[in-house]
Amino acid sequence: MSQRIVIHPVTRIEGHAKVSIYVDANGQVQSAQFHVTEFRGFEKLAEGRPVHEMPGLMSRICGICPMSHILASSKAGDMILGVQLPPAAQKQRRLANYAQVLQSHALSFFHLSSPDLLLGFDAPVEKRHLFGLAEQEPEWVRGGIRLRQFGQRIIELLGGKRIHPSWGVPGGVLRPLTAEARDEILRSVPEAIETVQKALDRFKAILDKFREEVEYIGNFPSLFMGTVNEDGEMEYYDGRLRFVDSEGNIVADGLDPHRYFTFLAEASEEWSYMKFPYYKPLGYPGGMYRVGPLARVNVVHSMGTPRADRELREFRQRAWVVHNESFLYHQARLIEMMHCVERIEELASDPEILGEHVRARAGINNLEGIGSCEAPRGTLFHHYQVDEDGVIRKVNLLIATSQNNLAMNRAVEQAARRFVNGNRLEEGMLNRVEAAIRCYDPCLSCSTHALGQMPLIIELRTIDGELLDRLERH
Amino acid sequence: MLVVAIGNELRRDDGVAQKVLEQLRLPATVETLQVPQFTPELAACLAGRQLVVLLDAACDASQVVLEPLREPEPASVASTSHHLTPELVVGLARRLYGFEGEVWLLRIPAVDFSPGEGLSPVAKAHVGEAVERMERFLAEWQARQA
Repeated sequence: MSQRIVIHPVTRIEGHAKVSIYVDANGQVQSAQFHVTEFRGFEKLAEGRPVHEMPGLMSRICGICPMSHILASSKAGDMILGVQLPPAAQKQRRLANYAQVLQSHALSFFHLSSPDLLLGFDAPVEKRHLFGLAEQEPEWVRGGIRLRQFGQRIIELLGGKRIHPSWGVPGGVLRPLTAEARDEILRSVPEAIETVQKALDRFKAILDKFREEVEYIGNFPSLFMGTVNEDGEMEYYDGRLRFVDSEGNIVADGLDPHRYFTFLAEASEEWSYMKFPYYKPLGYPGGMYRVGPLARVNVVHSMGTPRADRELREFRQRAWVVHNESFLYHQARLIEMMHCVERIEELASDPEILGEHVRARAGINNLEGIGSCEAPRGTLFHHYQVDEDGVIRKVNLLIATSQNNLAMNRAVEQAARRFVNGNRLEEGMLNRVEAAIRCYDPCLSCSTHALGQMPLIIELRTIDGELLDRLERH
Repeated sequence: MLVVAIGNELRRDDGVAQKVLEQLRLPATVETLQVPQFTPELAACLAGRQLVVLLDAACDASQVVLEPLREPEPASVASTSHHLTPELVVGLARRLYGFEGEVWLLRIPAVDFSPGEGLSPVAKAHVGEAVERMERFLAEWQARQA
């Protein structure tokens, strides 16, 4: 039986992709695939460039999380130079990292996901977007904009520009932070805390309306990976990697990110440009693991800041041991936002961050460098090989979003099985399939190292692959 | 007044707006912004302005076009942060911040959006005209306000 569906488009994610849903003769979903349809090629583009150029070049991978690429790239350069950073530079980089996570999470939660959460998954599609939300909840939307502006302003004060600043370099950063800039940051903290707390309270109040979505959008066992410090607390910039399983058992701990290739590998499938990283000891695809906000709050003992820890304790009361429900990426994202604001206040209050010495200089002392940090969407790795003149010979980027690729596919299939009936298609059903992807806040432009122009498409197919219907958005 | 250049300079002609902005001779009353793409926060930057001019590369223009921006139609709203339109940003500014100013869009012909630096001959050829049109427009607009 053929049906004609027109969805216009799969929306509110960063970048472009396609979902194929396979149904049997009874219209029941059998499987689904999440395809990424872009290719970019930054790994090849960087060959032949000097290593000192790399942070600036790599930041252009993305306009949403450029600072994460600057940090990971700079750290790879630090290793190639073989230097230890001055304390002021370390603290500035940490400050930038928190600002980056805060502003990216604000965009994801307030602008991309809130239309579903506050207007409803079944709200008319012509209203269920940022503009429609602004009509009904203007202060909510303004709050999200202010939070994002706060994070971006910190980046601007550090680097001179909000997006793609020329700032992080191998060995440190380009300029000290002024006292005036520090004071401006501290003045904005109270409002940021208030905005995040209101968002947390609102989300917790409405969460019970989404029991079915919590249960059936991406709720499955998996490993989780994140970076922790020596006390097992949340750590975004410098730490060791930890894996926990779906019951909260620590599977691997104290893993050195510089040796990521010993425990992580990447597979590829012909139907997607995005790779499929997996945990090597468990093979592919059994070694599926998740990264990003939910994974991070699952792997840590604590956040390390008081308000965020209070929220984490409450979050964990709902769980058996750890949360496996992808829908709760939203709440984890909010907890991280609170943590980021608290850490921003801490760092900005530290006099050492105003230090004048912000860069260690050296020649090429290692022909290989690996830098990692926690980006908004998960752990990010930049791996460079250079010649004796510091010219890039080879680059491997292991992007946060790609590490969630297996999980996103699983989430899409689960949501499709639960909510999509091939005999009676409704827009809200397909919105829930999109929502499965949206929980992960994927940055597809980063993860395919590409920036495309194609729209996101959902296709309905028989189990033999015959196309029944197609939804496309531009 | 605010002039905003939109585009990614590492995607060749996508950075033509920045090239135009670099060459503009602007009075002190005009603020400028360079952004790689439209994002919701731009709406806040429009608040309180009398005039906003957006400079952008246009793959569907064969000549420089300077035209007033139309209000968004809700059904056509794109909703990814990589795909916000100028119309949506202006609509947000009006709804959220009471923005009442004029918005104009300067569209500069562009043909090559591949990764890389530098403009194609087509885009390069239109930079001078775009600069001239902008400077003339701003001078005329200011004279009308006086």
